[in-house]
Amino acid sequence: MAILTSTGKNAVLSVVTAPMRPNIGVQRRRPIGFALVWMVLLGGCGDGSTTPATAPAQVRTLAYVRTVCRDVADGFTVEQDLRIQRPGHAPVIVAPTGVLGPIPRPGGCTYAASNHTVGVDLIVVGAFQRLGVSPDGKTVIFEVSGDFSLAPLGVPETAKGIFAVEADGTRLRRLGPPSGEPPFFNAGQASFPTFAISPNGHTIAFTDRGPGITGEDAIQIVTLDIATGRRTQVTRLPPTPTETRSPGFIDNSTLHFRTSANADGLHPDGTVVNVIVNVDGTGLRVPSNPVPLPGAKPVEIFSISGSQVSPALFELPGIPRNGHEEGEPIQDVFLLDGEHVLQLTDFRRNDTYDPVLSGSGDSIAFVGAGDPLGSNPDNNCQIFSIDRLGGHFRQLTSFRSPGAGSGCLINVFPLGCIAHFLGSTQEDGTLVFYSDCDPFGTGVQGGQIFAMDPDGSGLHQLTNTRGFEPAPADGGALLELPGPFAYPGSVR
Amino acid sequence: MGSRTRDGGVTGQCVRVTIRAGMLWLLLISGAAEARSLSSVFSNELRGLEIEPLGQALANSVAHTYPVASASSSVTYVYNPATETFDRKTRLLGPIIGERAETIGKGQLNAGLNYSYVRFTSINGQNLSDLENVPVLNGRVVSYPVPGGVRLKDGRFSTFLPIQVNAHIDVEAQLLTPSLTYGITPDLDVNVTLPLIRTFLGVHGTTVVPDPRLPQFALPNDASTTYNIPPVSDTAVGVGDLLLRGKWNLLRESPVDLAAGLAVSFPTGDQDDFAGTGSYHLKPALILSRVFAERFEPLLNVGVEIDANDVDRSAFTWAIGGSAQIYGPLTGILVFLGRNEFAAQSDSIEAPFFFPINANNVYDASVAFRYLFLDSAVISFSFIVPLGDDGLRTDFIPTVGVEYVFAAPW
Repeated sequence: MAILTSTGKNAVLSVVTAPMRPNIGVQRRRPIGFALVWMVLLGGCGDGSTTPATAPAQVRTLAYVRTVCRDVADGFTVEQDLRIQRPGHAPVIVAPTGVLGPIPRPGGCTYAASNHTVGVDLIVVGAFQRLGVSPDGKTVIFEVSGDFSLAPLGVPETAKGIFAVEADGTRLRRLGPPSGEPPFFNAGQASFPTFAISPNGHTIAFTDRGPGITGEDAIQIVTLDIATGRRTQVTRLPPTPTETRSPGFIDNSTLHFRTSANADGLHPDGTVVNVIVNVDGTGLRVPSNPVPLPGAKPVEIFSISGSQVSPALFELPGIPRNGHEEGEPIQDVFLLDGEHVLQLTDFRRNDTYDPVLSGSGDSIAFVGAGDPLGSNPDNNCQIFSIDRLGGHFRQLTSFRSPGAGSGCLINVFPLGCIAHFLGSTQEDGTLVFYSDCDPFGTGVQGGQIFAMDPDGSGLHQLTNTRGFEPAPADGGALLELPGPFAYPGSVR
Repeated sequence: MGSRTRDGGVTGQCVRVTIRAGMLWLLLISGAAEARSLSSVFSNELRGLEIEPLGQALANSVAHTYPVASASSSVTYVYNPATETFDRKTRLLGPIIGERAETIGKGQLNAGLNYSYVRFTSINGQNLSDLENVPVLNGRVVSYPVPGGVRLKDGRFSTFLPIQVNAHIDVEAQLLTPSLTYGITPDLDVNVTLPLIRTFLGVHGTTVVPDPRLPQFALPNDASTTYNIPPVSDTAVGVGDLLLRGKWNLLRESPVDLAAGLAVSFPTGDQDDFAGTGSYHLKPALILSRVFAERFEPLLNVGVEIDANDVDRSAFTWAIGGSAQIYGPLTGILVFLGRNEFAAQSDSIEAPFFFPINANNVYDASVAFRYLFLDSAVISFSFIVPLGDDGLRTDFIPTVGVEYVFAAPW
C-alpha cells in the first residue's frame, strides 16, 4: 500500500521493503533471513515448499484526517484533508481545507509536539471532527465544523455539516448540520471523534445537544439515519459538568455509552457509569456496580451467557497501582452480557482503555500497561487480548518506550510512547490503532496508524505522515499527524 | 395349504374380546396421567437451558422408532375357483417389520395386536443417564446468576457463575397397536393402524457451582456447591398417529413379486407427549419379494417418507432381509432397516451444550420369530436392535404380537 505525501515521498514502500532492518514494514514471526535459509535447505529435498510468512494485516477501507500544523512567523497554520485508503486503489483525498490561519500562537506546533500530541488531538484546532466508515467499507461519514476549534479557523457555514462520500470519492452529499457538541472535552484531554455505525450500516450515533428530561439543554445521544438524514434524540439526560461520550452499537437496536449525568437517577454523585439503551430511547439500564454485595449467592435459574456481549470499562474505587493519585481513576475491562457483568482484567491502573470485541466475538483486545505475564516489566503501553471468560490472556505487542513507567498516559513525564484508539474491524477482527511507539524504527517523531491480526501477527503500518520535523527544508517546524481515523466496524 | 369356511360366530366373539382387552389395558396404564404435556418439562423445570427443541426431537424420534408392524399378513390366501374356496398361498410367514409384496387375498381380513416396549438410552452416542454439558460453547457457558455479584479467587468480579450440569433423562414408551388389513381385490390391500401409547419422561440431576472445569471462575478457598435439579417425572396416555396403508401388487414371480405401497400418517398423536410427529406424512414405497421353495422369502423395500409440513424434513427409508421357515409352523425373520434423514427432524438447539440435533442416519436390525397355530393365527416375538449411534436410540425394542386372519367368506 503506497501513499504519496505532498512532498512526493514514497516512504511507505521504503518501509515495507527495506532489506537491512529486521522485521521492517511487516512484522513476521521469523526474520526474513531465517526464511531464506530454510528455503535453501529445503530446495533440495521434498517438494521444496516453505512455511509462508505471515501476511500483513489489511483494512478494507481506512479513512483518516491528515493534519499538517506548521509554525510560521506570527503563529501557526493548519491544513487538513480527509484521506480514504483501500488496498489496490490509489488513495482518495476529500475536502481539503487549504491552509487555515495563521492562528496567533507562535511555536504552537512545536509546543504540541513536545507535549505528546496524538493526531486525533488536533481536532481541537481543526475543521474535521467526527469520522466513520460503514461496515461494508463503501461509505465514509465525516463531520466538518470548526465551531469548537480553540483557534479561529473561519470555516464557512456552507462547508459545515455531516457528510457522506463513497469510498472511491464519488457521491459526496450532506446529511445534516454538524453536532452542537464537540467530540472532546477538557480542551482535548479526552476525545472520541468517531461516529458509531450500526452493524447494518443504516444509522450513526454520536453526542449532540438536546433537551433533557426537565427541558434543560444538555449533552445527549442522538442517531442519524444515513439514507434519510433523519436525526433522532435517543436520551433525555440531565446536564452534567463532566462527560457523556463514546456511544456504540451493541446491535442494530441497542446502544451503549458512558456518562456522569445520572442517567438512571441512582448516581447523583457524578460517577461515570456505562449505560445501555434501545435506539428508541426505551430500556435504559445501568449495569451493576462491580462491587460484590455481602452474602451474595447463586440463584438456581439456568441461563446461557453470551447472547449480547459488549466490552466496557468500569471505574473502581482505590488508588491506581501506577501511583498517580490525580487524574483518571482506576479502570479495568469488563464484559457486559445482558444483565451480567464479568470483570476481565485486574490491572488496577488508570491507563487501561479501548476494549474491543474481536470479529469472532471470542476475545477482547485492549490497551494497557499492566504486567500480568511478566513480559512487560517496564509497564510500557501495550495491546493485550483476553477471551471473554477471562482466560487465554496474551500480550500482543512488544512496544518499547524511552519513558519507561509512564504506561499509557500522555500527560505524565517522562513521556512514554502510547497506543490509542484501538478498534477492531467488523469483517475479520483486524485490530487497528494509533501508536507513536515506532515499532519499525523509522525514526519519525509522531504517531501512525497500524493494523494487526487479532493474534498479534501481521503488524502493518497504514499511514506515512511526517510526524514532527523541527527544521524541515520546506519551511517552519512542521507537525503532520493522522487522526481521527475510522474503518469498517471501528465503533459499534 | 389349508382353508377355512365361514364362521361368523367365532369372528364376532374375537372382535368383542379384542376391544374389551384394549379398553382394560387403557384403564390399567392410564393411572398417573396429568394435564400438562411431557415436553413442558423442557420449558418449565429446565427453562434457561434452551433445550426446548429437545421435546420436538424426542417426539419425532419416538414416533419414528415405534415399530410399526408390517401391513402384510403372515397368512395369505388365493381364491380357488375350482373349489370355490380360498386356498393358503404359502405357509411361509411374512415379516414383522418390512413388507412382502404378496397381498392378503380378496375379502380376507387380518386383525393384529402388538405390544412393544421402548426405552431410550442414548442420543448421538451419549448416555441419556449421564448427560454433561460442555463447559464452553463459542464463548458461552451455562450459568447461574449471582445477584449482587461475587469476588472470584483471582480478585475479579462477576455476577454469574458457570455451572457443570449432570442430567439423567428417562424416556419410555409402551405401545399397544391394533391393526386391521383387508383385501379389497386379489391385488389390493388396505390397512389401518392406530397405536395406543403410554409415554413417560423423567428428569433429575445435579449442578456444580462454579464449574470446576473453568478455573478462571474459581471462588476463594476453592468453595464449591452442588445443587440437585429437582426430579420431575410425568406420564401421558393417548393414541399415536393414525396410519392408513395401501398395497397394490403389480407383478407376481416375474421374476419377483412387485408391489407399490402408499402410507399416509395422520397427526392424531400428541406431539407434546411424544406420541406423534405433529405433521402429516406420505410414504410411497416399492416392495419386492419372492418365495423360494416355500421356505425362503427375501424382501427389499425402498421408499420416501415425506413430511407434508416441511418437505426438507423428509427421509429415505429402506428395508432388506428375508423370512425363512425354520421348521413346520416356525419362521425366522431377519430384516435390516434404514432411515436416512434429509435434514434434522426438529428445530435446532441454538446453543447445544448437551447434544446437537442433526439429520440422522438410523440403522436397525429386526430379528423375529413367528409361530403359526390354529391354521390362521400367528404369534410373534421380535427384537429391534440398533446398529449405530445416530439420533435417539434404545438398547433394543422387544415386541410381542398376535394376529388372526378371518378368511372369506366370513
